[in-house]
Amino acid sequence: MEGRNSVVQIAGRSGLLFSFWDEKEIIVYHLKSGDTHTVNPVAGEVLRVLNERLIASGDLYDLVADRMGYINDDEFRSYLDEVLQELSNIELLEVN
Amino acid sequence: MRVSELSVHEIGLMLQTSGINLTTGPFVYRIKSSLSDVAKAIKILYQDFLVSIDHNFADFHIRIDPPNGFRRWFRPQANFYFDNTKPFSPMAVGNAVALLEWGMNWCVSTYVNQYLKIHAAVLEKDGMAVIMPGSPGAGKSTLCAGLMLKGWRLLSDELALVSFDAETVTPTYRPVSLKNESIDVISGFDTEAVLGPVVKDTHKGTVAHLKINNDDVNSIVESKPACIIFPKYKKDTEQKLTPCPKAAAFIKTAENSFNYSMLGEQGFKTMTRLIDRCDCYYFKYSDLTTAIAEFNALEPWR
Repeated sequence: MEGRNSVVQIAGRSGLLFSFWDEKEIIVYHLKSGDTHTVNPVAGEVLRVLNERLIASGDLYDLVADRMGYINDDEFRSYLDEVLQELSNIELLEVN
Repeated sequence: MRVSELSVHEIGLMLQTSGINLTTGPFVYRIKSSLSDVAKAIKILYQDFLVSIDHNFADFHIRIDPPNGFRRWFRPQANFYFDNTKPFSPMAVGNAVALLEWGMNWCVSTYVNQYLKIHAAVLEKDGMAVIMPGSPGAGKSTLCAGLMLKGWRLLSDELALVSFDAETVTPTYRPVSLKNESIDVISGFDTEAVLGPVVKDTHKGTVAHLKINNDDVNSIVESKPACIIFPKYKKDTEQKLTPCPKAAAFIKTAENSFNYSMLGEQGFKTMTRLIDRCDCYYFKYSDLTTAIAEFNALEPWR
């Protein structure tokens, strides 16, 4: 991502709807585009955080790691960057 | 009156003049046609249905007739008219019955949006419904016909109409559309199966419609969705029922919906409720008898 102070938000400043089954199977509905996606639990947690607030990417790493019980180390941040990029590719979020 | 109380000649006269009002589930079709094949097919396939010739409200006004001009005589064709518009290209006149059935399906799949509509066969037993979404060729109509002939109540072989709270599926009783090999399979499976005319050389191959054999096709008895099963017929394959993950079931069912996207947030919420309440499975089969036995042994119907 573009730095720890860049702001990450849901694309189009829209909201998301979620369906969860066993916390592992997650479906996300983007209200603005009307698109439906399946996402993995980490991506689901990222989107849940972003659906609640605007957040700097540095804080996002901390919050997601905390909620999911991961250590916020280089490996985790690198993985989360990939997740954010993928979510950006499918036009679910944008980084400013 | 019921269709069975009318002769083919009387049905033909009604179709040519005022038209007949045919009620299937919550929908009323006013059907007109000058083609004798249409009258004959209605006599066979809809014999238990109530019809009227009054001019009360009808949801869909449809007509199957030859086009004007030389195609009435030279390689004759038939058109499907909806409110006097022609949504489809004309077909050979021998395909008129199939055109009527497809057109009736098209009316609901295009214009009805007070339900979440899924391209699926739906059957019911003990008040609980199994929904079988499926792409063409998956074997859903054959399985659906077999289940119906062995005591399940058919709600539809084409359309699951799910209420927005996902508490009920509404029937839209219609004949089962059988294609190609499945026509012989079902004829051999139950010698009492009543088939309409066999129509060859359609864009779907050879087509015949199987008369619905529910006890009552004239009252709307809704059912509770209990299972979603994605059937797949494969010759000589070992029968296998496998749980389908909920998220995958959601996406596959949404892909088979006519109006999931159009309903937007409502579609998402209804689909979530539907998937929540249903057990979901993939089902591979090659033998109709053992397939039906597997359905009868499923938890809701055991």
